[in-house]
This record gives sequence, structure tokens and C-alpha cells, in this order.
Amino acid sequence: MLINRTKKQSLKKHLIALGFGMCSTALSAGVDIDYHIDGFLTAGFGVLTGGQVFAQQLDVNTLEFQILSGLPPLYDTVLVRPSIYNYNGKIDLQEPAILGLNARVDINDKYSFVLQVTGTGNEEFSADYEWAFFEYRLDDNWDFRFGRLRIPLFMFSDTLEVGYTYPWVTPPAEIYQLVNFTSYSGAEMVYENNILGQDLRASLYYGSFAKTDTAAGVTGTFSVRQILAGYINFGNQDIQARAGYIEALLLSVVPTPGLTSIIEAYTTIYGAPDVLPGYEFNNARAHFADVGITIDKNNWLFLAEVVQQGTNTPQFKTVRGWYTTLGYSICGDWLPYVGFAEMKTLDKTSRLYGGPLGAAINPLVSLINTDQKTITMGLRWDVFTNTDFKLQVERIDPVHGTPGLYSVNPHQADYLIRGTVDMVF
Amino acid sequence: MKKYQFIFKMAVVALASSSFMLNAKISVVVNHQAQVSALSKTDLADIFLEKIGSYSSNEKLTPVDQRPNAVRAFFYERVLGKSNAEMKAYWSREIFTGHSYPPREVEGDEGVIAAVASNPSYVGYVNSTAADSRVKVVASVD
Repeated sequence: MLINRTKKQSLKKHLIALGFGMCSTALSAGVDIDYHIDGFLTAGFGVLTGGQVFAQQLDVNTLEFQILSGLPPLYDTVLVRPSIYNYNGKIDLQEPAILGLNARVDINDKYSFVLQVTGTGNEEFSADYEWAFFEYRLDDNWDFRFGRLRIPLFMFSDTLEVGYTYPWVTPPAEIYQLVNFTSYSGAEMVYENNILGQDLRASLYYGSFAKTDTAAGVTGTFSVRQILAGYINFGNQDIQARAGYIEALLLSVVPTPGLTSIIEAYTTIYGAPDVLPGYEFNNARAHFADVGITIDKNNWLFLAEVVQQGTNTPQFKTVRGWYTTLGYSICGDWLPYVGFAEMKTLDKTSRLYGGPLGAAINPLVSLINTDQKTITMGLRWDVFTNTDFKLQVERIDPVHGTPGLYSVNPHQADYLIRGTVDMVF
Repeated sequence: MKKYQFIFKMAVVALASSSFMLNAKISVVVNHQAQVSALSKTDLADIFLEKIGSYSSNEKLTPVDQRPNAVRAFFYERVLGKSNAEMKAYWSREIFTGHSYPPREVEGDEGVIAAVASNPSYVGYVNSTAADSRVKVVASVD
């Protein structure tokens, strides 16, 4: 994955700096300042038995292909999350590895600062600031946060790297690989209360995200602005329901002016499913709607979530992803589980082009369709109170002639086998 | 030989824990200055998960945990129906999203009684046989 390395340094340096910073802050300010430092770690292996490549950095590879070929619909895949699903036919020890450190400084009862630094094996543990925010607690009900915040897109989005917090090795790709931006800069307002004997947490947030990638010597910027979103969690320690919605403005600028004029001329003459503003798509509105439920009662664990993603431009597809997982806890430490997940492109035909070149373009337009079904079996064993071991086997079946989340269509189901150890400390 | 010694020790610990689980009764204790006279299971769940419960509107109580041991496992099993690992996962989610932190931990029954006796807002849990006149019992869990 090509990352803007100038913004990244080694995670180790960040952790050391963070430790010194925390200690000096606490010492210089006296004992009134309360601070916590916590960490998480995941290590393990993964292998895709068929040897095909599963979701190998689709964003950059396809962006590069798009720049070279000038096919605007392939912009779509810059939305695909790369990171932790990059597996092939060889046993990979680097891909599942994640290390993170979380620090919180409570200046007093009202004000806090939170910083979280994460490094992943597939990025050589270069540091990402997932959280860096200032928090103001108005009272027991209202919190206000400002800074860099994790986008709580879906049920497990805000702890995606903390494997200890969910039963699977990673949350189902059919939902959690839909989006490749995980943080935003902005503000969040959180409301918590007890209503009708149930816990309510509601959040409203606003902000933006920008990412610069370089491929084939060309630098393009992908940004998400005017992110206006919210979610509600309602329930108790046994049953939790969640609903969330996001609206955002997508902007991308890749310098391909010659190709832009060609495609604009083509669109003018022969028509397209929608007005193409050119290769630099602007003002494309995207939305994500999410509903989920967690039931954790009498040793049974049931999880289900459905997400629909769409935009107002044919450069992006409309996708629905969902999953369900059922587990049974044995002796409190063993959790065998099974699950099913599906991802389906909803606008395969309406995105197709007319005109004489349609026959040539449409197969490429269809490349970004990602339909697949996955059956999952796994076991989580809580070895110690802060350490688990997970073993998970997934049968990933690309369907409807699409490659699913494989970067090369295997035209058959393949098995992804992964084992990890997750630790929090 | 060392392997068998380890297994034997683990078996003794497991037996002691299960023995505690069979015979245990836990007392929830507060400071004598606290206004509260009784707490329900729902109140305890809200307080120890640091949720905004119906009780929190009356008096602010700060939970104190025992460091992981059989008493703590029993308390959470009976009050919330959760194992130590499940509670750890819950708090990890809260910590790594910056929402809240688990209760402060002290060592065993004596640690809880000493902490509660010294702070009017603290609430903790101890083996019923350990509760004494330094603290006020507001609930029993068995």
C-alpha cells in the first residue's frame, strides 16, 4: 500500500514519545492529573488455501489501473478498505499483526485528552493516529469531543483494530471492508442516559477526511467532506440495538485532463447512466445506513448487522452487506461460533453505459461489482483474562460473475484460514 | 514432573474457586456516611458498569473492584451474568473508544473495606464473612 510516508514515523518512536509526554505532563502538573495508558496487540497467521489474492490493496492497485486506463467507474474502489484482509496462498504472519497504544489524560472532572496510536504489520508498524481528541464533559449526560476521531460507522468500527473486543479474527469483510477511511477530523456530541430502564447512547458528529495516494507517478487526493452522521445504541448488557446513518461529500482530484475531456465528450453524445462530471468527481453525495443487534445472554451470543452504501453518481456502486453470527459460550472461556455474510451490488445494470463504446466499457464498469457469500466457523478461547486465541475458517464464494473481494476472480470458493492471539494490557 | 505439579496447582485453584462459587455469599458495602440503605441488582449493574442508572440521580456512588479473584468472578457472574473475560472485553471496548474506564482495583476483601471505610462515595463487594462494622451492608448477592 502506498502511503504518504512523510506523515508517518515508526510506531516505536511514537510510543516512547507518548510515554515520556504522559509522564512529564503528569509530573509537571502535580498529582491531580489522572492518566491511563493501555495497549492492545494482535499477532497470528493467515492463508488463503486456493492461492488467489483476497482484497489485496484494491484501492491503490485499482486507482493505478484507473489512472493508466482512464476509467472513471473504477474510482469506486478507493472506497474499499485495504489493510487487514490482504492474504494469498502463502502463510502470512505479518498481515494480522496490530499494535496499539491508548493514552487518556483527565485534566479534571470536565476535561480530558485521548490519544491512540496504531501500527499494522502490513504497513511495517508505521504509526497512525486513530484518535487524538480533546473531551469536555458538560455533565453526566453530555460529552463533547474535538479533534481526530474514529468514525463509528458500524457496530465494531471504532474498535476495528482491537481484536479482543469482538469474537471473530476480524469483523466480516462484507461490511467492514466497504470503507477505507476510519478517522475524521471534526467534532462529536455524545448523549448518554437511562431511559425506560435501558441504556441510551446517541452521537452526532461532523467533520472531514483526506487521503493522498501516489500511483504510477501520479498523485491523487481522495477526500470526504461534510461528514454529517449519527448513531443510536439502545439496550442493556444483554441486548443492544444500534442504528446509524452517514451523509458525506466525496471529492477526488487526479490529474487526467485529456481523458476527462474525452469521456465528457462521449457522455454528451451517447449518454451515461448519470451525468459524469469528469475524472475529478466532485459533490458526489455518499450515504451509509446501518442497523445492528447484539444479544449476549445465557451463554448465547447472537450478532447481526446490515449496511447499505450508495452514492448519487455511477462512479460508485450501491452495495448492501450483511452478516449474522451465532456463538455459545462454554465455561465462560470457550466460544465456538458460526456465521454467514453476504455482499451484493444492487445497481449492476443501471450503471451501464449506452452508445457504441458501451460494449467495450461496460465489462470494465462491471469489474467493480463485488458480490460474495461467506460461511464462517471459528473458536475463541480466552486463555487469560486479557488474552484470547482465535482460530477461524471462512469459505469465501464470489458470486454473480464478480470477483467478490478477491483482486483476481478465482471463479470458485476459496478458504481463508486464520489464527490470532489478541491481548489487551 | 514440573508439568504435573503445574496441573495439580491449577486443579487446586479451580477447586477452590468452584468451592467458593458453591458456598459464597457476597455483601455489597458502602461507607456509613452514605445515604443509601439498599441497592438492587439493577442498581449494582448500573453502578459497576458506570452507566447512568435510576440510582445515580439520588447519590453519586463510585465503584471499587477487587483485583481478579474468585469473589470478583462470582460477583459479576451473579449480578451481570458475565465472566471475567467478558467483562474485560466490555471494558476494552469502553477504554479504546475513550468512553469510560473500569472501576479502580484494590486487593481482596480487606482492600475494599479499607477503601470504602475511608471514602463516603465508594461502593464495593466482599465475601460476607469479611464484612465488619467499618462498613455498611446495602445488598447481598448469592
